[in-house]
Amino acid sequence: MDAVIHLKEEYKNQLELLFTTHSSWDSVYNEPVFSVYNHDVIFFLNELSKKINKHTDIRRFPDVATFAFFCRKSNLLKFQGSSLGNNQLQIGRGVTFHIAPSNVPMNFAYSLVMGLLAGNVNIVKLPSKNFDQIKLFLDVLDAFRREMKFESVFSKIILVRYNRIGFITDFFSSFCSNRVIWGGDDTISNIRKSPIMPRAYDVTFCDRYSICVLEINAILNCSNLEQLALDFYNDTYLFDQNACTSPHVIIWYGDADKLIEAKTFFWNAIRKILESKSYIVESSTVIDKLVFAHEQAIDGKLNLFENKKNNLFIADLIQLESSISISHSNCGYFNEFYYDNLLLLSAIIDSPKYQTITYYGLNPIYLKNIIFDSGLKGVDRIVPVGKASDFSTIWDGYDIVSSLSRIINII
Amino acid sequence: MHEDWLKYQPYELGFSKKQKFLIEELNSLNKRHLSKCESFFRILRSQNLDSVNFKTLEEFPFLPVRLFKNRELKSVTEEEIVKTMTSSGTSGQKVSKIYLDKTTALLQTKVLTKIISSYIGSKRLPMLILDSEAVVKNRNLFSARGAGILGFSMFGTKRVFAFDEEMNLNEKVIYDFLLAHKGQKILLFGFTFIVYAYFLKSLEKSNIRFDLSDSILIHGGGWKKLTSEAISSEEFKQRLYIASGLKRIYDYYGMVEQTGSIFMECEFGFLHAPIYADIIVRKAVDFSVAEFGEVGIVQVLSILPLSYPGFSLLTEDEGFIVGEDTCACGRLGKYFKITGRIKSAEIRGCSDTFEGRV
Repeated sequence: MDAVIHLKEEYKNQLELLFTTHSSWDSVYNEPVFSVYNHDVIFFLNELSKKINKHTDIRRFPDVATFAFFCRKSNLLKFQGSSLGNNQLQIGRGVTFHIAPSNVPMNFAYSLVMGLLAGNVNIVKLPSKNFDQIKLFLDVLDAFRREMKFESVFSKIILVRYNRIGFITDFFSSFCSNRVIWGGDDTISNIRKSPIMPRAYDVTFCDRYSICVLEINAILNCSNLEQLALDFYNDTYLFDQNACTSPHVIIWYGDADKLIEAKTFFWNAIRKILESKSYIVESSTVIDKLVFAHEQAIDGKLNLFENKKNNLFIADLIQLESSISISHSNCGYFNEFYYDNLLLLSAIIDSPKYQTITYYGLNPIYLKNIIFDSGLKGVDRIVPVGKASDFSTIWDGYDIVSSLSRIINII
Repeated sequence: MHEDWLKYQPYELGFSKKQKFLIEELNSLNKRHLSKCESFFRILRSQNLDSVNFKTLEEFPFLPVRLFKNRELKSVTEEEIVKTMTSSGTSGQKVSKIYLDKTTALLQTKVLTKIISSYIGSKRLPMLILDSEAVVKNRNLFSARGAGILGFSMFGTKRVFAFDEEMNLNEKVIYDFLLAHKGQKILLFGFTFIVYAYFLKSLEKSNIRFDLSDSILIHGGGWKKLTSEAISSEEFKQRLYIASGLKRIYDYYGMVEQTGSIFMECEFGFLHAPIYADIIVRKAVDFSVAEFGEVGIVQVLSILPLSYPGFSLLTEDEGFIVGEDTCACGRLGKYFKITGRIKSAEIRGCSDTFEGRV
């Protein structure tokens, strides 16, 4: 029988097949789906987790270790418990086409896990850069496959790599049931030029911004400032303050008389942690930050900025506008502002561009109430300082597993 | 600017005297721009530096040079502007805009003349421009390349362009020119990458053998887009010597944001700060001043910018200072080397998968 779905000969050499058990794209398309949180998938991931942890190089890659920790059975079952749908009546939709970001090595793997938990067949476009973390992952996956177990799970994993978005994206888009697009707004609009089937849809993770709210007295009374500073570091510097979850704006809230004292206390702790982590900023980034501070000054946005060391720029804003996060710097550039009344936040975060609020020293329910009482369109995550980048099946306002599967209604 | 400055030779002042002069001059420039340029005032106010009298050169705040691409910075009214200089940017890139009034433009010329005369003598020389006339003909955009050629043209007579509009070597024109000025000292001027990619390479590829052993070549502008092809300054000189007999070859370091007070190379291959300018090398970690010999980000100071606040700029170049007042060539002041452009960083994060579309 002739293949129905095939990639034109001329593009085949542009596509690198890193992992597949299929011999044709027809066979990929015809692969059956699973119910969500399928047993085999969970046991497969649990075993994958163990195998990754046994790899000799794992200590070199904390991000791979975090991924392995994420894939433990107990963790996945916890997500199943918090899932919003009825797991018994939810099942996969078909082929999910994932486009992973080019500069976060392990993001593709989380996306794949979401697709597997949703019961789908997954074609994942990996970053074109061959990160060591990805090599490690592929090593483990290849060895695992040779054990000839979990064949129905392995057949739901297709890992590909290709450079430019175009014909090959058109090809995968033409027969997928949904696409998961990570990355910036530009990428999303570019991928969307490739049409998908009428019932297919995109789950997109676009450019988003986060803020941090610190309560002044809580900071001054903090018994373990070193831990708080480390938590803040992990939220921000760990990804060069360039992840969508990394706050660019720090809002100080509470007792105005103690504001200066609290700032000094907090930023000195951050400086200490930067010292101990030897966080270095490259010359070009230093200049980017300096240019940014000068532009803010010229545009009349700043009272003061300070950069005792170039890994920490603190910009004291004259006023807070909703657009403050949209154009921002990174690698340790924080805009700060004082509020005596947190209800004022509603003017800032009433934009779908806001994703996460990290908080210290206040009740998250209060922050949630601000969103619900004013009917705001921004903020999907309210998490303590230190948890900004903790991945979960509920992310960016989606229950991803539910978003990628379908629910059967029986009456 | 104090008229005194022009009485001195460009490399005449040693550390203590130059330091004293420069600090005085830069403080008065600083005050001028604070009162005449609101943007400059805001920048200094945001660092609590708007009412400071600086006591050392290192204390003067610096603006990142890229700021002149992103914002309009001037300390004169529209009516006072006589010339707007732009940096040479590739298409799509933003260019620097530098606004000159009459006084600043005149100062730039005077200072450049002082510096160049100290190398070629005060008499104008027959001049061969290693570029195409097209670069200066199209004056819609006063580009750095065109501006450089026009700026240096005042040191030459009987000017001739070495290339036609398509950048092919004008052999006949050059032969006739050399014949007409046989036995005379000749001035050659061009941009480093043009001299290399078009002049030197055409000479090497063909059988043309010009005798330029009595000539002086002044070149500048760095390697720009040709960084992948960049060769060492020694190799550059060696190959030019072999191909044409050129012995006196001087590189200069300068930028459109501080035209006039350029840093010329000496016979020992070091760039020299003239009395109208200075250089500071800073560490990326905290902008503290680097030791002599230590590579860091280059800051340039100049007493010429009256019409725009560009007297203290942090460049995007890296280099190191070799010494001060001690160069074997005899010129006083700091002498240094430029090692290249700062490298762009690879930043982590999840905001980018954009790889273009075919």
